[in-house]
Amino acid sequence: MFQFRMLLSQVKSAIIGIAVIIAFWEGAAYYLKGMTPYAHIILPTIEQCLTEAIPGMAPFFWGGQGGLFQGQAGANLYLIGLLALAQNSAITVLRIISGLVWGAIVGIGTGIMMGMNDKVRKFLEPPIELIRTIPLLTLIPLFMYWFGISEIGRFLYIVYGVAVVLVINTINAIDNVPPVYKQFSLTMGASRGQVFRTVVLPAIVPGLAGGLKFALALSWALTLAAEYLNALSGLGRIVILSEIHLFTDRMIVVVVLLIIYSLVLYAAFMRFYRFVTRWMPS
Amino acid sequence: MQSDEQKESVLGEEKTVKIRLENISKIFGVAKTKLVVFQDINAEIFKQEFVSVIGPSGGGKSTLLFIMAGLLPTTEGRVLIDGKEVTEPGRDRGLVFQQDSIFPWRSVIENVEYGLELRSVSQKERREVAMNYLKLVNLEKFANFWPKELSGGMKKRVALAMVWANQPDVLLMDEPFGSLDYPTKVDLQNKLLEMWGRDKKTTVFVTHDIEEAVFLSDRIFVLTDGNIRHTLKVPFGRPRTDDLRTDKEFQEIRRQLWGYTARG
Repeated sequence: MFQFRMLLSQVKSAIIGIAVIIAFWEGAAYYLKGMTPYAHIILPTIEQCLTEAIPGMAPFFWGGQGGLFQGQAGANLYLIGLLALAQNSAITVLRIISGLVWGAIVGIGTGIMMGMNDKVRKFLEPPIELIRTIPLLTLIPLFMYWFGISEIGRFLYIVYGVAVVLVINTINAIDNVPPVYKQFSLTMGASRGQVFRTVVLPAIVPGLAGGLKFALALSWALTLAAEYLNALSGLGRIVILSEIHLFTDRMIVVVVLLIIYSLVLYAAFMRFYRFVTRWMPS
Repeated sequence: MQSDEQKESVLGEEKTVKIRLENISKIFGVAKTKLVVFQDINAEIFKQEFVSVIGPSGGGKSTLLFIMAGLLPTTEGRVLIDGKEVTEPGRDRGLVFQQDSIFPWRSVIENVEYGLELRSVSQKERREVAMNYLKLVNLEKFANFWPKELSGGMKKRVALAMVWANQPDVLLMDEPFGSLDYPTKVDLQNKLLEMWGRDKKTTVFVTHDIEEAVFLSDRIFVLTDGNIRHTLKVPFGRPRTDDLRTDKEFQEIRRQLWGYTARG
């Protein structure tokens, strides 16, 4: 009951928040309309976004690059526009998630190997400390040069960015396991391997989950950045092409979608996060 | 040097040596930063004996205990248990820590099961055994709680159940009740004596609380100025009850120990 009431109040404040934004947006858009003929470019109205921008997405359907719709004459452009959005959304979200998952596997795996073996750590830590200081965005041209405009290049770029962050995060988490737990485990008769499996692994889970939360946001940023500069599909590609052709309304539609996806992914992640940290003292 | 067979006569009783400390020294650091914690400690602890180690903080009580547990190396000398030299931590020496050491990511019952799990005892059997030990510390109702949901005293009881369920040969306790309030402490001391009385495992109990030491122990080592300077035999029989705490002789012994440990 209490939870339901809390949910209700959250929904209420969300609705109020959205209503306020819409009111200001529409107000500003109509005000601009009275001032300049370029109002539809500077700040399009919500109606424009819904009626013109969505059919305008039709040329992006099935690998299209904007411009004029190349399909059958008389086709339902609104429907094709929605399909184009759905298709490009799926591509972008898939890039984010696959980059995050593989980045996590590589990063956490390497971090665990370094945290457990001093030799591996001594060998890998200096180069990792060095390359983590390189701003990730500066590496996009390099990855373009190495891999061209290709899915594998984008994928490796996102995996790289996520992995570097998570390696450091994993080592820190391992270093931060309170020694008393390992000592207790040893006096209970645990072998080194058992100490790792029954103490270190469970103890670092909250630290890893915290790192993953950050990595999720990073994977978003890297995916979008890669799509802006180095892709022929995805929501980022639509934003860039729309910007070039002054279709502000299309950009806004994509940005609103991005906000929704990111909220949904974040909410799903927080469920996972609360589950794996449920034993932690608050 | 075969202590297993070696009997010693103490106050007319025949006793077997369980733990022997041989010329133990612990020095941290080198040269200018050298810190001598203690030097050339020699002592014997007998089978089924409850020995407390008291002394000023920073005097090396816990260090000595960690050495017995095999968690710290000696600088010189060695610890023998049943005549065998201690080189690493092991299941035969259970250690109850000063801090909370039970695993927060395991439920209460899973914590108590831990030692059995390490030895691959079947799920069903270890739950059964663990439940018995939880009952022993009156926490059976909390079996499925997280440690974060327990009070400090309850966590200590879980730690006792956890170590007991692992059936060590020797019990080492490092100021286990140091952080608890007086009534909880008294309660746990009684619980400890009750549990200890069942099979009288050889116990070394480190504390800075003189009353606690006198109430629990057969003998008390006073560790000051880098060695065991005094050894005192506690003359009270067992089982012991709270009445003892206000006994005149009990107070007399407390006063005597106070004299040994107070900083001059």
